[in-house]
Amino acid sequence: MDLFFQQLLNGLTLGSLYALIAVGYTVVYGIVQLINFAHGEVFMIGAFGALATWTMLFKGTTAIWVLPFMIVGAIAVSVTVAVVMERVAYRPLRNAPRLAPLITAIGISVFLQEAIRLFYPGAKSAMPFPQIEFVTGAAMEWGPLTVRRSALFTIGALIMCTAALWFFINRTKLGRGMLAVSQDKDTARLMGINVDRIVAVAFALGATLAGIAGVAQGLQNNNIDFFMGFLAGLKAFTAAVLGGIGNIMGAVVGGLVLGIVEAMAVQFIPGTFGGSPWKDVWAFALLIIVLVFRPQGILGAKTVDRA
Amino acid sequence: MSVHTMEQAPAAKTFGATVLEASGVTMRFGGLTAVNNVDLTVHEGEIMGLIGPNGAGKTTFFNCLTGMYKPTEGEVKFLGTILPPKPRAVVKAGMARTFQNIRLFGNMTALENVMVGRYCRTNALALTSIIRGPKYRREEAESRRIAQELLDFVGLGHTAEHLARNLPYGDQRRLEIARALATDPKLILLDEPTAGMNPKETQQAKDLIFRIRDKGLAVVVIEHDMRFIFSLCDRVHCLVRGETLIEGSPQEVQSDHRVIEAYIGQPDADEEELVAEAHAHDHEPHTQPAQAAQPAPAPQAAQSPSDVIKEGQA
Repeated sequence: MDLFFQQLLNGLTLGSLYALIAVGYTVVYGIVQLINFAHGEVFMIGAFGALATWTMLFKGTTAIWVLPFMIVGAIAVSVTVAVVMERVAYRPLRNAPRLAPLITAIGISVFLQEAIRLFYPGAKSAMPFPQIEFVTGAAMEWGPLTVRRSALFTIGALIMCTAALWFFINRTKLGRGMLAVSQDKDTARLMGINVDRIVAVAFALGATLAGIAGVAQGLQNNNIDFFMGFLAGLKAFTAAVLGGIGNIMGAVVGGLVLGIVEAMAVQFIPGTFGGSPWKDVWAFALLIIVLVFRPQGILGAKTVDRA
Repeated sequence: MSVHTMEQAPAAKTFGATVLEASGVTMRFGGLTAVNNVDLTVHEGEIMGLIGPNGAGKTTFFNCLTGMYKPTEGEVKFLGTILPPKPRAVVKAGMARTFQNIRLFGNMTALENVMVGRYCRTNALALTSIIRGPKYRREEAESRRIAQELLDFVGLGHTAEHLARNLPYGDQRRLEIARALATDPKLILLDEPTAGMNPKETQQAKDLIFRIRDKGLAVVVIEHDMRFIFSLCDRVHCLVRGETLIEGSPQEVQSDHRVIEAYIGQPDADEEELVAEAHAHDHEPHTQPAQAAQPAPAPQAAQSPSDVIKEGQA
């Protein structure tokens, strides 16, 4: 039983990371019906943004007060990349056949990976991520549970981001604009809403969470690499579909469910099919099962619904 | 009010400044000319009717006015300036519209729908909306108040918290009008505001349009219900196959034989039966004078084919 709770906690941690990234897929999909496959790279670049901030300004410091600066640095970089990407690569294709932006997304994804690999000093192999004493220090023992501090950081980040996002969508003018655009772009335009700006905001919003996820990932794994966005992005996309693509709370739920299933599968499926080599198989098997019985996803909705 | 009183009234009516001046508006899609060289002038406090058989180009013309289409030729002057063909600029300048097929934001409440209409009249930027400074909060409260007032104005005050998609059909149409009014328009374009409504709702819609006019707005109405149009409008503009057939007072248009022909063509026996049947259903005492005044076939009959169509759609 202790093992169960331990794996539940590990699953929640992993799931929180997926959820933070998944929100970016779902928000953008809700607004422009585009699967932004380069979003995993936005997450990766956020991590490098945090690393660069630390290297340039705080090298050698491990005190907690640098963490907020690293988060700000991560968000600044990831949001910039996402907004530029939208402006340069997606906006010109807004009215193109749907395959065109999809292929573009894959192209951007490769472009960003290679750009980091080639131009970020030392990024050809994995780079150590700065260790912030307070969040990467010795794990805590809560009764039978071993709780890593970075896990609490990740889960806490998800909780705060989700609350802020809910507030933003449901209680602000801009959020109302996003809901309107997600439901009917032409009518929204006729209400005087700047649709291009709303689209950019959607990309920025997703990138903000992805940037935070990048920091969380770096703190948990101790190192980052230019390829880390690929699998994380794929899993987060799975989480978004699992929860119901277009639905923000669905992305959060989908991420957590996926994380927990992976953690449980590693621990409790016996024999040949158990253990960590099979965890991805079980994650995607879950996706297939859910899509067969509930194609719209767990909280499925066609638009960015009530967050 | 009866059509009879209107027959004496129009000459005495005076309107305010010119709000909309569309001249030579032409819209071609490839080889198809949907709207051909149409002029339309609307004044403050005036209700203009836009009629014509299905496919005459009425909605396309609306789309040209609101910047959804860029007219192939011609220009649209609004309050003296030529508008860029951008919906956002058009709304900001003071032109609002409703849609033939209702296009509310179904997953938002009635109040939120109307608040979206306030979007272009509030200045708070993205950042201030996150930080929630005092200016933003004041603006937000103001939007909420105005939205509630407009819901009350159209008679939907009690449904503020209902999701738009759950409202009855007639209420959805009125909600669209409230949302359009929220943009502070000088001119409102209504695309078939009574489509699918029962007689009571139609009467309410008429009263509502009069009240909108009384606020000093200019109104352009597309409608197939001829009795509604002729008892509502100060002037009526008839389009047929994208071209202006006639523009004039309801009496002039009503009695123009070409208008009747455009609607019912050369009636064969079947159609006449339908017309007669519909006519019998529609009979209402207060329109009698107008009918009596007309030579047969009365324009009343012109309404009937479209009514038949509407029943089919419902």
